[in-house]
Amino acid sequence: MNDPCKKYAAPLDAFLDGELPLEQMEQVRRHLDTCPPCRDYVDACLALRAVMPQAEDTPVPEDFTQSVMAAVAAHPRKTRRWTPARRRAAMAAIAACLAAAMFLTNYQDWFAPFTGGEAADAALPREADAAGDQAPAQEGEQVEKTPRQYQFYAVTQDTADPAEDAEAYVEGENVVFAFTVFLTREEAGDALAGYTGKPYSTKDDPGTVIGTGYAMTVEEAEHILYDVLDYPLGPMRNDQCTTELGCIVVTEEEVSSSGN
Amino acid sequence: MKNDAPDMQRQQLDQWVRQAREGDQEAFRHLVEAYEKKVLALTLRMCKHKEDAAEAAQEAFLAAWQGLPFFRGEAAFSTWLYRLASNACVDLLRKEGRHRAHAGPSLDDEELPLPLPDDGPTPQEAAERREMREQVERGLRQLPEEYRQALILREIQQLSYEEISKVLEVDLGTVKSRINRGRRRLREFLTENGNLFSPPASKKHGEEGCS
Repeated sequence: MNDPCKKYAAPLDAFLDGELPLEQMEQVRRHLDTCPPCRDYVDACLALRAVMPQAEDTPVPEDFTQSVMAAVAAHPRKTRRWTPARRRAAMAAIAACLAAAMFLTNYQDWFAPFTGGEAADAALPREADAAGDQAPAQEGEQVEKTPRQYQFYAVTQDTADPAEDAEAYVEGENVVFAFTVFLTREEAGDALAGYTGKPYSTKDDPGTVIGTGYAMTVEEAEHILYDVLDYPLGPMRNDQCTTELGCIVVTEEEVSSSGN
Repeated sequence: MKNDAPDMQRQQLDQWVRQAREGDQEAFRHLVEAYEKKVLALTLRMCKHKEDAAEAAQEAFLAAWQGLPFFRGEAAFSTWLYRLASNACVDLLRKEGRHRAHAGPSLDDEELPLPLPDDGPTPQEAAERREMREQVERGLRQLPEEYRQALILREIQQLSYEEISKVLEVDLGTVKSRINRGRRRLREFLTENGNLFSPPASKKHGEEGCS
């Protein structure tokens, strides 16, 4: 059979699947009026579509729902509750760890974006500064050490993957992960050994670090989840992510996935 | 989804997901009932044996139940569910050689167990339609897995390219390419093995195609 012509071969499937912007749909439609090979392809695909099986016609084994619910009942979930008391205890524990870490850093710079004021304004990116960040030193020029707050710049087209550059993760601020999984320290064990963790907080409460975040690919996360939880299948993906990487967050206590 | 359920239904589904996440088994049961056909429509065509298809579907739902509390953020439940189902099929295929012995025939070999609705104004037409649907099922079966899966998600689950790319964890270009190749191969198969396609008119006229 004749293949569609070279010029229009590419958008024909998108046309069939309603994936073209209106103007291009029109363009393709007009082209089909004048091009029999392309017309044939489209007609063939439409004929295929007309006889494709329907999901509604799928036979469901008689006790299917029952057997799923039986499996659900047989595999109880652990309850995960984040109560105010537990939260305070967890915060105290994390604060203690951070206090130790802070001796080594200028924490004022670090928290500047969250405390507002002049320091916070300085944290917002100007394109030139962000670029200067990555440019190599010019001949003999003294290169200023980059203040920490520049690591919190918002994601733009020009930046590298936010999950890789950031010194801390503020989910919803400097990064939105493709998936986020919460594990307690106990659950995680040493599964995250070899990964670099960074302080993790959320947009709702950026000043409060709720755990240590470890950025990784889906595949890596699947391995870890399988080891740690015996959970064989991949994490649920966030449509609004700004990075392809996901994050496993290790917390002191259990964190409810619905927030708070 | 591409063909959006009416808003009310969408809201209802979202509510059930939220409730199920909090531990409400009844809400989860509603989700199972809402999605079982769609999930099975996928697993039946991706697994070798009917029993595997049911098991993969069940695994997917169980994993969804277990996994819901761990994950934060907005994500389409259905897209996630299809991904779990797809993974479950792969998992079962891996185990296939080692521990599993099936008395029953493979879906590849036997008469297709999938229901082929009889429809058509006359018995003659109904029979023709049935024949055609059988051919389509066979055609799908003989496609390479990757093309088959992409085409099924597009035509049966009616997902958008974007959604398919998330289910399969491949980029958009790969999605388009697999759908395109799946369609072409299916068309070839059905041209050689059925009545669906008569030779295109352009061929008869020795059409050269446009430049």
